Formats: sequence, C-alpha cells, structure tokens
Amino acid sequence: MRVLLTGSHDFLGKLVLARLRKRDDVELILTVGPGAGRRGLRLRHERLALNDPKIVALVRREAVDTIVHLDVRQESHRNESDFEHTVMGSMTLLAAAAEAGVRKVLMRSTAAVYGARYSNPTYLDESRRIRLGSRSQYLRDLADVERYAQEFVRSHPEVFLTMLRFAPVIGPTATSPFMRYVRLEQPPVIAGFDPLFQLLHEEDAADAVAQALSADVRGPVNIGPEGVTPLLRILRRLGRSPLPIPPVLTSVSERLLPPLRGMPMDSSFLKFPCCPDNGRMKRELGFLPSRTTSQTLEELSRVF
Amino acid sequence: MSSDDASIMSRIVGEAESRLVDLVRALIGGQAKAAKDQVGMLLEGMTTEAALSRVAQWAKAIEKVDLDTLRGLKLVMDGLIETFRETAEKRARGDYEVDEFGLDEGFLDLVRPLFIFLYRKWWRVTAIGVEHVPLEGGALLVANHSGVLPWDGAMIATAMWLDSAKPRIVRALHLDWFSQLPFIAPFMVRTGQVLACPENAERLLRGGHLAAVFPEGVKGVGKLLKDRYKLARFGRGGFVKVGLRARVPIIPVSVVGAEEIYPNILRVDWLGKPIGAPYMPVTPLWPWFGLLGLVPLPTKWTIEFGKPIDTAKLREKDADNFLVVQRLTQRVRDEVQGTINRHLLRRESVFW
Repeated sequence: MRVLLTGSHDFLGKLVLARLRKRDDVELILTVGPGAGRRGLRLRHERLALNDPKIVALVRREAVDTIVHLDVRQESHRNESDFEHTVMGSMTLLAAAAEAGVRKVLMRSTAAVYGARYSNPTYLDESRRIRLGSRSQYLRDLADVERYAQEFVRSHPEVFLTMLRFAPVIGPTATSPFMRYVRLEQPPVIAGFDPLFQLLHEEDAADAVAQALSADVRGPVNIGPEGVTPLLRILRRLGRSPLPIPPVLTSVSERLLPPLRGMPMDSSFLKFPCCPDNGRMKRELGFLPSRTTSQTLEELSRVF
Repeated sequence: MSSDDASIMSRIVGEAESRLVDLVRALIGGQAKAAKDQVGMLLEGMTTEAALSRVAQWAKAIEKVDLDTLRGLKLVMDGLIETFRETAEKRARGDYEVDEFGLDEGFLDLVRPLFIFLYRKWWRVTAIGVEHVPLEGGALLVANHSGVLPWDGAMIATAMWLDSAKPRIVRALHLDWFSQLPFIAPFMVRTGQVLACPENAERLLRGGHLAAVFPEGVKGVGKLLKDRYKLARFGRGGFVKVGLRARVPIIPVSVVGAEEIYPNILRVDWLGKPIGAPYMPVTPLWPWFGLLGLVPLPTKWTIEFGKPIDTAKLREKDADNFLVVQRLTQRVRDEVQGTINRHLLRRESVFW
C-alpha cells in the first residue's frame, strides 16, 4: 500500500500515522500539508496546499494507491482560506484520485452533517439526507464536500471512496469541536434540554480509520460507539459547570450573547439529538470501537 | 366543649407543637445539613423562624396528633432525605447510566410514585388481560389515544409495572412536537419514552423492548369531548409494518376513562401554531385557570389488553403489501373500538 495522508499535524492524523507506520503492508507514507512534517523510514512529507493541482502529478509519480484525507477544518470562525482548504482541497484530492487511478480514498467527515433536529430518530443511518443549511459554516463546507463525494461515488465506481462520519471525538489530545466545547470554562447549555450524545475515543477513531483501510466500502459509513449519554451528564462527569441559556430565541442569542457566540457547535446540537447509527460500520467495516460512550467518558474524566 | 376538654386539647396541641418544632430543628440543624444542601433552594428561601411558625400553624390546625405518628413520620422523613441526598449527590456527579434510548432507570424510580398515585388513587385503574402481554421479548401495544396530554401512555406503562407477573418497562412512542418542548423533552427521554418514527420503533422491538404506539396521533389526543371514544383513523398503518418487520406480536389495548380527563370543548388550532403545538385545547378549566387547568379530572379508568395478534404467521415482506397492512390495521382498530364500546355500555358513571 502506498498511502497519501493529509492532516498529519492534527490529533487524528498523528494517531493514524502511528498506526500506519506499524503496518507491514504499507510501503510508503506520503504526508501532505501546508507545514513541515516528519520524515523517516518509508515516511516522507510534501509541503503542498491541498488545493494545489500539483497533487495530481505527485500522486501519479509516487504511484499512490490509497489516499487518507483527514485534513478538514472545523473552526467556529471559518474564513475563505478554510473554505479553499476543506472544499477545494477535498475536490482536488478526489480529482487526483480519479486521474491517477487511486484504488481507495478514505475521507474524514462528521455525523454532524445530518444536523440536530427535534424530529430526528434517536439514531440516524447513512440513508438520511445530509443537512445543507446548517448555521455553522464549517458544517456547510463539510456538507458541500459530502455532496460532491456522493456524486463521486456514483460516477467513479472503480474507486472505493469511504466517507467516515464520526460521532463527536474526545480524548486527551483531541481538538474536535465537541472537545473544544467541553474545554470551555462554562460550556453553555440550553435550559430545558439535555440531548443524547455518543462519544468516540480518539484512539478508537484512529482504529476505525485503520480498519477502513482493510475493508472495501463505497459511500458513507457512520463511526460511532455503543451507548449514549445525556449532555449534562458529560459536563458533570468532566467537572464543568454548565451555563444555562434560556430556550427562547436561541438563534438570536447565538449571534449576540458572548457565551454562545463563537461556540464550537451551533446551539441546535445542545437541544436535539444527532447520534449516528453504527450498524453499517459493524456489518461492512467489521469494526466496533473498543470503548462504549460511558467508558470513553470515564477515561477522559480521569485525566481531564 | 368543657373547660377541662379545652385544657387537655391545648396540652396536646402544645406537645405536638414542640415535637414538630424538634423535628424541624433536626431537619434544618446539624443532623440534616446535607439535606439542607440538597433541598437547599427550598429551605434557604425560608428562615428557620418562618419555617417554625409555619409548623406551629399546622400543629394548631391539627386537633389531635398522635405522637407515634410523629415519630413514624420523622423516621420516614429521615429515610427519604437520606435516599434523596444520596441520589442527588450521585446525579450531581453524573454517576448514572442511561440505556440506548436515554432511559434513566434511577430517574424513573424517582417519578414512579407519582404515576402509581395516579394509577391507584386518582384514576383507580382496572387493568384487564395484562397476562396477554409476553413477559419477555419485543411486543407492540397499540392503543387508542386521548386526553390532550399523554397520560394514557403513562398509565399503560404503570399497569405493566404494577399488574404484570413480571414488571416490564413500556417504551411509549410520542409525537415529535413533544421533543421541541423545553423540560418536557428531556423528561420524556429519561422516563423511557421515544419519539415515534419507524426507525425508533423497529430498533426498540428488535431490541426486545415492549413498545406502545398510539396510531391516532394528534387526531386522538386533540379529540373533542363530543367525539370521545370514536377512534380516529389509525394513521397509514405504519405500526403494522413495523410489527411485521420486527416479527413481534401486536396487542390491541383499549383505554376507557382517559377521554374525559380534560373535557376538550374546543380546539383552537391557530392559537397552537405560534408555540409549535398542533392545536390549542379549550376545557372548562384550561386556559382560564392557568396551571390548575392541567389537573386532570379523576375519572375511573379501565385498560384492557386484548389477545395478541401473532405476526409470525405472516411473511416479513407482507410489510410492503398495502392490502395486508390495511386489513391488519383495520382489525386492530375494530378490536380496540369493540372493547371500548363493551366497557362503555357497562359503565354507569364516568367517575365511579
């Protein structure tokens, strides 16, 4: 396997890189990203923006057969360069994959693309339509990428493109939106609501990526652990003191009130559930996270 | 009353008062400091003097107080406070678990006494045919819906808890608009109720849960008093499809008594719209008397669980056969309506 990996500077990329380096079936790991990267045995770094068309030539030259694309930005204040990076970068990588005959592409996404709605079933499976009009710009970008990827799956049946839609990832090194939220001194909550969440441990998230390398699956796969837990329980276990916001006019207060403004997630996720159904992951990926939601929470609460 | 009687009376009242004062001192003072923290908001709003004078008023109101009753009361109170304190502390630490749909059994244990009170004392529910519900594995209860607020679901659940040979937790499936309501939405989730949709129903049943559905939906709960016990359309038969797919028995359930708890005279749909409700009921008490209008009338209820309809004889693919689904839907509806009619004929009063 000759792997091109993006996002090796990020927590998930680092964990995945460590797993790739241990595998015997990996001949070459080529990390690509804007900054400097590590070098080593079978490991090289190319300093290249993801939306740089030079990537096509790189993929062809290095005979890359697998692309692991983990570098999507999930910043609460997204700017034009984030868009260039996430949307244009993902499209460029997919184009390169099609052009250079790459066999498999794994793409990082999030289950938040389904959107949190009051009418959501408790578990959302992959057949649910992704929500395009989210209030979070980074989610709109990811939905954009997802839509493009779904089209790609249809038009390029020769490429195994798997979109991994992760449940909220937490862990000692994680920097996911949910992790940034629980790290707030007083994480805001909406009074009168206590939605259910799944928590995926960062190590399990990396294991899921590693497992997806060995299984050939086309299209989206939700990556979520067994078990759910109410939001308030998460905050109490982690010793946070939640800041209740009145449940009226949250869409207005979200833009005006300092605690909600710049929140890592939009307030609908603090009211309604958005839990991915992990059936396809178990059936087709043959993967089950080693920790349940409660175990992940317990583990984090000891080091938090 | 002779002066002798009066002096005995005043002595008893005085004694009772001092016992009660002791009791409250014990509650508010050192021994129950922890209790004070938990019941904090309640007690802190009230000074010790205010609490004592309140108790003195009570004591005066009680003409005869048996001291043993007081002692018993204190024991019970101590026990309750201890349990409450432990539970509250555990919950404050987040030390509890929920199941895959968010049911929090510890929380259910806390609120169950209210349901049991309503079941035994308020509506004096008679449950018939509870033995028709399997003691294990998935089964689908299909009931008529009424009463503006979904108390019928709560009482079906209480019947399965109190009157079944093995207590079972019923997962009632509710309308999605309850999920929009602050405080009510998490209450529903914690007590084991689940948003009604085919995905949730199928997952519950395949997981071996006992689920209850109300196919009349809004048309049922929003029913007017003049239409009581006339079943509305049973949706599009979605519950039959789910039952067939999950291969579980379908059990018709008829609830008599719930249709009069909030005599719904008028439905003002345009008043409901702004608050996201499908309708706005008008009863003799609601909305005129505010929250008092939420107190349901103490009617007498009968809940009858019918014979299970075995879906094992049918094929799973029949779930996609409109005619089979319609026939079964109609059969369940007719059975519920028939049972209701039978009970209505026998019933002499709404309240007894």
